[in-house]
Order: sequence, then C-alpha cells, then structure tokens
Amino acid sequence: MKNIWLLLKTYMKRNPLSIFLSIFGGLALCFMIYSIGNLVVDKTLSNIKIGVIDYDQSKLSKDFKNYLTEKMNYELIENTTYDTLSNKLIEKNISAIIEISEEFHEQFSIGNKEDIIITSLDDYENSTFLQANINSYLVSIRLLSISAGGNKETFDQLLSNYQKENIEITQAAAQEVDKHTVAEQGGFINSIGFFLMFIFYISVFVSFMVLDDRLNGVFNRIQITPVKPVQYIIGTGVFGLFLCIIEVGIYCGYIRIKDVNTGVPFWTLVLVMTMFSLFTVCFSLVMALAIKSKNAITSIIIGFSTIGCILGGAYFPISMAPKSLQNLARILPQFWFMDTFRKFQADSNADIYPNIAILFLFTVLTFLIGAVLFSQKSKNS
Amino acid sequence: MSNYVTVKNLTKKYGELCAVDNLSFSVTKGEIFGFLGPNGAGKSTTLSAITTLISYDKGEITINGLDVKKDRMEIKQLIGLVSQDIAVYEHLSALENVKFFASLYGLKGSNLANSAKEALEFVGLSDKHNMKPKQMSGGMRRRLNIACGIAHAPQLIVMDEPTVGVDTQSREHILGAIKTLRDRGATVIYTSHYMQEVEEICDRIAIIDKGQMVACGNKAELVSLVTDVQSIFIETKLTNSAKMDEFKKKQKLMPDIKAISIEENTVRIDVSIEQNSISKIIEQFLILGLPIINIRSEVPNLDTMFLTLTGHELR
Amino acid sequence: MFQILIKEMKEFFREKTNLFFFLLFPVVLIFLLGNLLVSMDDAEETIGEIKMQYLIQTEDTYQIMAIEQFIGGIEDNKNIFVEKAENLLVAREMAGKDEITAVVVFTGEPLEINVYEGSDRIKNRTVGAIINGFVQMNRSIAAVINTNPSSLKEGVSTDETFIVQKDLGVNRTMLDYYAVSMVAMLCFMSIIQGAVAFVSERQDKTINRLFIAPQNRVLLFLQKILGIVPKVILQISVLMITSVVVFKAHYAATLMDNLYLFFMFLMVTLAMVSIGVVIGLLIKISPMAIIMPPLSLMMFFGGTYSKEIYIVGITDKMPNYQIQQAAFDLEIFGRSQMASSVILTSIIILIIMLAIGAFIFSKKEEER
Repeated sequence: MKNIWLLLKTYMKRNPLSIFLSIFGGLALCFMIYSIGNLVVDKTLSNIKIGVIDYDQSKLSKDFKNYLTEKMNYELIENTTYDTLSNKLIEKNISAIIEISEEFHEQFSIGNKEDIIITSLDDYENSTFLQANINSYLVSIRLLSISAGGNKETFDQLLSNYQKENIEITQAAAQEVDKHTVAEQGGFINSIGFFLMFIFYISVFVSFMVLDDRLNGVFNRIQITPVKPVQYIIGTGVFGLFLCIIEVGIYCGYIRIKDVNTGVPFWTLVLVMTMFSLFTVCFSLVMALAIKSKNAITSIIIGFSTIGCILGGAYFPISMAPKSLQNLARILPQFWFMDTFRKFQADSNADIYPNIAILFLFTVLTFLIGAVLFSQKSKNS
Repeated sequence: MSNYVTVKNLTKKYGELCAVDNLSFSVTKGEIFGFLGPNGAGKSTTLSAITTLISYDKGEITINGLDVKKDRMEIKQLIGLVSQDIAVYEHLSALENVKFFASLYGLKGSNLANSAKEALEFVGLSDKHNMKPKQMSGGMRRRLNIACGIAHAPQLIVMDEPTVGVDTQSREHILGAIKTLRDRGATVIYTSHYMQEVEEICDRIAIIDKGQMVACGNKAELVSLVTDVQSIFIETKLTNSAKMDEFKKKQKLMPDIKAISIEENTVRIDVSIEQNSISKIIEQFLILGLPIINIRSEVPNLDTMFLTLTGHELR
Repeated sequence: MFQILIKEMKEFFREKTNLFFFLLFPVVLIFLLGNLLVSMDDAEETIGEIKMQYLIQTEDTYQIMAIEQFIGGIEDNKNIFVEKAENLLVAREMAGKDEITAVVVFTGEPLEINVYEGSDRIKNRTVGAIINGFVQMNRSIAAVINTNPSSLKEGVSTDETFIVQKDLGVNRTMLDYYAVSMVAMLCFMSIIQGAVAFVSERQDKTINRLFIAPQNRVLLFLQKILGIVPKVILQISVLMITSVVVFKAHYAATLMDNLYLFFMFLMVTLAMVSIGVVIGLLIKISPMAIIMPPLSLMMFFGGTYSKEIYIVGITDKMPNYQIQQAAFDLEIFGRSQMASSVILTSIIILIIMLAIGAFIFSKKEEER
C-alpha cells in the first residue's frame, strides 16, 4: 500500500498538466450542460424560420402566409431577394425558401392549379413537414377552386367563408414537460458524449507515462526494487483513475449541486461514468504495454475514441443508421455507455443491468489483456 | 605544424552561470586533440561554440584562419560533427542517412553516392547499408553516427564522446578509424570520459574545469605536472631484519631513491620516474639473499593526473 | 534541395502512424458518418410507426362522419395505425409512456381537436401534420357547403401535390456533406504534421546537423516546409478522389470549380502546416497530444462531425465552419467569393507564419 501511494505521489508530480486537463475537462462538461441545453431548447421549441418571396401579393397569398404564421407557427422572412435567402438557407438561418408565383390567386380562381416552389437543402425534417402543411392547405384551396367552377367571384366568396371556418387544435404533452427539463436533459445527453472524448485524452497521458517508463528503463529499475510489478500497475492505474475521477467528480458534483434533471438516477450516473473511466485506464495501459511509439499510441487512442464516439452515438443517436452499422456499434463500449443514458431518458424504469454488465465485461477483458501483456514484458525484461 | 584551430579568451555565460571563462587553446593541424574535463566543466559548450552551434559572449575562434563569427559558411564546410547524441533518422536506411547529411555539404550525384559508400565502409557498415537505425545495435548506431559526420570529408572533425555505450569490438574499430582519419590529414578534437581511449589516441590533451583551462600538453607533460615519482612494491619474507637494514642503508646512498617503507612483508620503494631503477633494486635483493615473492610498480597515469588536477569530488 | 523533400516523403510513408492518421482515418470517417446518417436523406425512414388512438366526443353527426371517413383514409397498416381509445385517461397515460404516439380527441360544437402527445418530437409533428390535413379539408368542405352545397364535387385527391422542389444545383447528401467536412478536418490536422516535422528533428537532435550544415538557415527551413507540400497534396487528393470514386460523393459541378476547391483546401492546409511548424519550433512534447484536444473541440462545434450542431455565436466563428461554408457555397451555388476570401486569408497566415518560423529557426541555437 505504501509503495502504491509512493508511486501515486510521484505520478502526480510528474504530470501536473494532466491534472489540470482533468479539471479543465470537468469544468468544460459543466459548461456544456448549460450551453448545449439552451441550444436544444432553442432548436426544439422555437419557431421555424422560412423565407418567402411573394410575387402575387394577393388575397390568397396573404391568407396562405397567414396560415403559415398563425396556424403553423412558422416565422416568415420576407421583403428580400432570392440570393439573400439562399445565403440564409446555406447558413441554416432559415429552413426553406418558398416562392409564390404571380399567378397564384389567378390560377386557383379560374379553376386551375398553381404550384408553390420550395427550395431547401438538407434540413429534412422541417422541409418535409413544411411540404406536408403546404399541401394540406392547397388541397383545400383546390377544392374551393373546383367548387367555384372557374368563377372568380364565387372563388373569392368561398375563400372568405373558408377563412371564417375554424377548428381549434390544441396540442399538449400527455405528460407535462417543461422547457427547463428539456434543456437539462438535452444538455446532459450531449455533454456526456463529450465526456467520452475527454476521458480518452486523459488516457493518452497515462499511456505516455507508462511508455516513458518502459523506454527510459525506469520500468526495469522499478522491477529490481522491493516494489512488486503488480503494485506498479495498480499505482499507475490508480493515478489514471484519479485523473478520470476528478472529471467525473466535477461533472457529477455540478449536476448534484445544481440539481440538474438529467433523467438518470444520480448514483447510476456516477457508477457508469466510473466504470467507463476504469475501462479507459485499462485500455491506456494496454496501449502503453503493446505499442512502442508515442505517435502511434496517440493515433490509436484518438482514432478509437473518435470512431467509437461516432459509432457509439455520442454525438447523435444512431437509431437512424443502417442496421449493419448499428450492429457494428454494439462491439464498442461507447455504444453501451450512451445507450444506458438514452434508455433512462426514454424510460425511467429502463433495465440497464445488461449495459452495466457489458461495460464491466469490457473492463475485465481489457484488464486481462493488460495483465497478460504486462507479465510477458516482465518475463522478457 | 601550424595551428588549425585557435581559441582565444573564449567566454560564454548562461545567465549567471559562466560555462566557459576566458578559455584559450589551440589545435595543431593533423593532430588528435583530447578535450577532457569533469561534468559541467564547459567541454560541450566549447565544442558547440567551435562548431557554430551556439554563439559566445567574448573571445575569438578561428579555424584555418577563418573567424567562426564572420566566416560561418566557409567554416561549416570544413567541420564534421559526431555528437554524443546519435542524430540519425530512424526511418531512413544507413546509406540514406549518410547520403542525406552529405548532400547538405553540396555533394551530388556519383560523388555523393561514392562518398556515402566510403563513409559506411570506413566505419564497417558497408554490409548494413540497407538496415535502419532502429534495427541496429548500439555500437552500429554509433558507427553510423560517425559516418554521417565524416562522409563529406571534413578537415576538422569534432567528436563528443563517440564511444559511449559501445561494445569493445566497436570501440576498437572506432578508435582505429579515428587514427586513420588523422593519418589522412584531418584534425580531430576528441572528448571522452574513458582515459584509456584518450591515452591511446590523443596526441595532446587539454583539461578544463569550471570553464577554465587547467592543463594542456602531451601525456608525459601532463603526468609530470602531478608527480615525478613512481612506486615499486616488492613482497618478500622478512626473516632476517638485519639484511633489510643493510638494504636500506645501501639504497639511501642511491640518489634516485626517494623513500623506502616496509609494511608487513611488503617493501615500498619510491624512485624517480625518469630512472630505470627496478633492475638495480632487484640486484640488491639478490645479493642480500632476500627472496622476491612478488614485484609490481605503480606509475602515475592520466587518471591520477586528472583526479589530482580537477579534484576528487564527483560532480 | 530535393534531398530534403525526398527525405520527408520517405519518412512520411515509412511511419505507419502517418499512413493511418492522415490517409486512412479521414476516409474511414467519411464512410462512417456518411452512412450512419444516410437515412437522414430519406425522411420516411426516420419517422417510424405512428400509433394513434382517438376519441369522438362531439355530437355533430356531420363531423362524426367526416372524422370516421378521415380516420379510414389515413390508416395504411404500414406506418400509421389508428384505433379508438376506450378511456381518455388510460390513453393519455399510454401516450405519456410512448406506448402510442398520441391521443386525438374530437370534441365540442363547433369542433375542437385536442391532441395529447408523447415525447417523440418528430412523430408529434407527423400527427400534427395529419390532423392539420383533416382540419384544412374540413374547413374547405364547410365553406363550400355553406356557400353552394351542390357544387361540391368528388373532392380533391390528397395524393395531388402542389409543391415544386427547386434544386440549388446539387442535391447534397450526407456523404457530400462529410466529404467536405472531412477534408476540412484533414486541413486542420495538418497542424500536427507541421509541428511533428520540427519536434521530431529536435527530439532526435538531427536538427543540430542541419544547423551546422553550410546552408542558409532560412532556405533550409523553407526546404523543410516544401518537403511537406507533396504530402498534403497527396492527402487531399486521396481523400477527395476516394470520396468520389468509392463513396460516390459529389463536390463541385464543374472541373474548374473542383480545382478551385482543391486549391482552397491546399492553401488552408499549408497555412495550418505553417502554424504547426511554429508550434513545433517552440514546444518539445508530443504535438498530437497537445493539439488534438482543442482541434477536436473546434471540429465538433464547427459542425465537422455533425451538421446538426449549430450554436449561434460559436459555430459560425469556428474557422473550420467558415471553410466548410466556403466549400458548400462553391459546390452548391458555384460562388467563389467566400472561397477566395479563405484563400487570401490562408496566404496571409502562411506568409506571416513562415516569416516567424524562419526567424525562429535562423536564431535557434544547439538543441540539447
């Protein structure tokens, strides 16, 4: 125990930068809960903006625009050119551009059909629903147009009566969800993905430490001292875990103090984050024992971290991904980590024991690989 | 022989620390000049100043009449550096390494290829030309390090502990190669912590300590600074003390005997280093019938001289 | 001069880490990201099943008929499932637990519609769109009946569409997006290459051999930079060509625009390399470990990993975002102004950094 403590103290003196980065990482995560949370709220609950170019400026086009704003809660950007709106579209300030032709009212009033031109890029959700809503309106206008039999006055009268008709739609959540909760849960699920990224950067430092000891001969020197090899590994592992726990502690501490509604039980959160930290430390030790170059270690850890985070759903849910990639994701611990929290947020009674068990198995497997490599190195040196 | 390298009043400070303090010496053309000193004496700083790696605060360094500060480019063409650190590219083969560094000195085409091959042959790595440094042993890497420093046939070769961590075979090869370089007309400045090496190959030796010159000269001159006495130890059977007293009386009459002392069965006789007194002493022992069980002499060497001149403290 | 260039190329290709990180890794990311999110190009796939329950609490016979006809019309037993709720409270609880998408209550005279939604935002919007369709049709039928009932004909087919999709020139898929963002990522990762070029020389002490060589230091420095240029050209080319040939991604529409795009990426990369070089001359620790964390954060917030990430005031300030937008502007609209600004900025950064780097290199003393 004394030797492990000795090693731990030495590591702390050797790596003040990594301690600083852990603290910084924890603080950054706390900041992200707040900032990304607000972004999530803005995105989900604010009005969708669309650009409109009304070449018609008729009673019908005004009614149409009124339908978009009053009934559909869109925010219209008007009185500008197509080029300006194109720029806004590319910069994602608006979801689509609608062009109302100058014969819009004329064509419908004489019994014909007139299309609306929509320009959108890749904002699939908003674009799709916009089209659905526009079609719903124009189908009903088309009915008026057909019923008017080509008579403009009749059409206008039908239109006036149509405007007077109203069916109130009230949409409410079956269970009350408040804005604050949306922000907090959205902020949490996004920031926890960043935790996966940060924790691997810490593991780079742990790997460097062990690699330096191997390459400088310090490893061999320690082996001939009364410090047992297993104490060396435990000491290194404890230091790595210590770095991770700093980050976990700051993040979870913030959640506890601020009473952030993450949708996940607090101690489950601490347990899962700690377990993943343990996996990461074991992983970094395996890297340091298996690889001989710092550049190679950094490449592999960053590569595994980036690809793992993407496939594992740290940045966005992979429920939309092809089945083959979803199945591939299951071999990654990042997937099980993120799945735990997504399950809890969807259902507070979710069964996450399989996830915890799988994360535990990943940790044990990595630990065993590390132990085998370590004993090989000890024998060969 | 003219001076090839002249260092006059060289001073270099790192903040408050004066690494080289008013140092002056010269190196004759075509000699192997040993440069010794304890750790932190200022050897590396002096060599770095000579090889234009660092600037210096005061003084003058000339190489072949060219000033190191004013004629940098011309000076660089003359110098080859074999640093203590093995400065080679791990991903290039031995031949590629040598060719690359030689090309920096303007060698091209077949001239470059031939120079590189000769350099590898010179250090005994011609059959390893495709091997990469990471595949080589420590000794081979050192030899490659030398090849990279000499491929462009420099007139002045500065070697900073070129045999550190090297096996005996490689060391012998390296030392032999250095002598060959000298024989071909190169001037070599050589530093090492191995006294045997310095004794073996250096024509003259300078000893510096705390940035200042302590002594400079050939081996005999340096040793004579410390002492001119050698000690002869004869192990005998002192059964007859009267005979030993007679020996002592007779030896006192010999002018080159400085002192005689007896400890248990060993007689220690201090004689002048220049005189060959051993045969006379043995003769006396035989005449007196004193048995000689064992005889040895202790001649002061560079180790003794170095420790004496620079002190016994480890730094 | 070419000796340094050849040496740099040899070192690059013989270091397996470089081959993985700078050639393979971006290609893998394009594949993953482009395919992970490919279904986002097809909206129907992402919505999933809609399960609705409804209750009719109105006494208006006409409305009841209209509602039942509407319900019969929307259920397709493929994506939309509708059934009558037995109890409103139970149905609301089921919606709250996301066992069904929503409960729709048709109530009152005049008719009002109350929708109790679950938590799936997209499904809720789908339900909203469906109900909206009913409401609009109901309004127009009511208007016709109140004006001239006899003129009500067969109605209008709800399959008829009144939308013309205007193309901005290129239909940008997820792969297209990530084909650009990954090249942008590669451009910024070149900071590491620039840094490593000098850190490794300093760590191996081979830089001392360069210092004592009879060569102008500034020229030596520039030669080293020049040695990096073929590598970056190769990286960008491999990534762009692989994206197009293997993954069928699209860049710009015309050859000239593509060349200009390539040139923009090249200048950005060189600017980043020059920044990396200055860093490499000043630091001694592993540049990857120091540079990657802030770079990853920048790439995340700049929308490199996900185009959905857009934080006002942060994302639009990220350099990688600006470069991506310039690329998209050129690709989609054929407009080169932003790209030209990026090129000009990159050239300025390149010149300044090269000057600083050359100065530092020329003044540097022995590496110990």
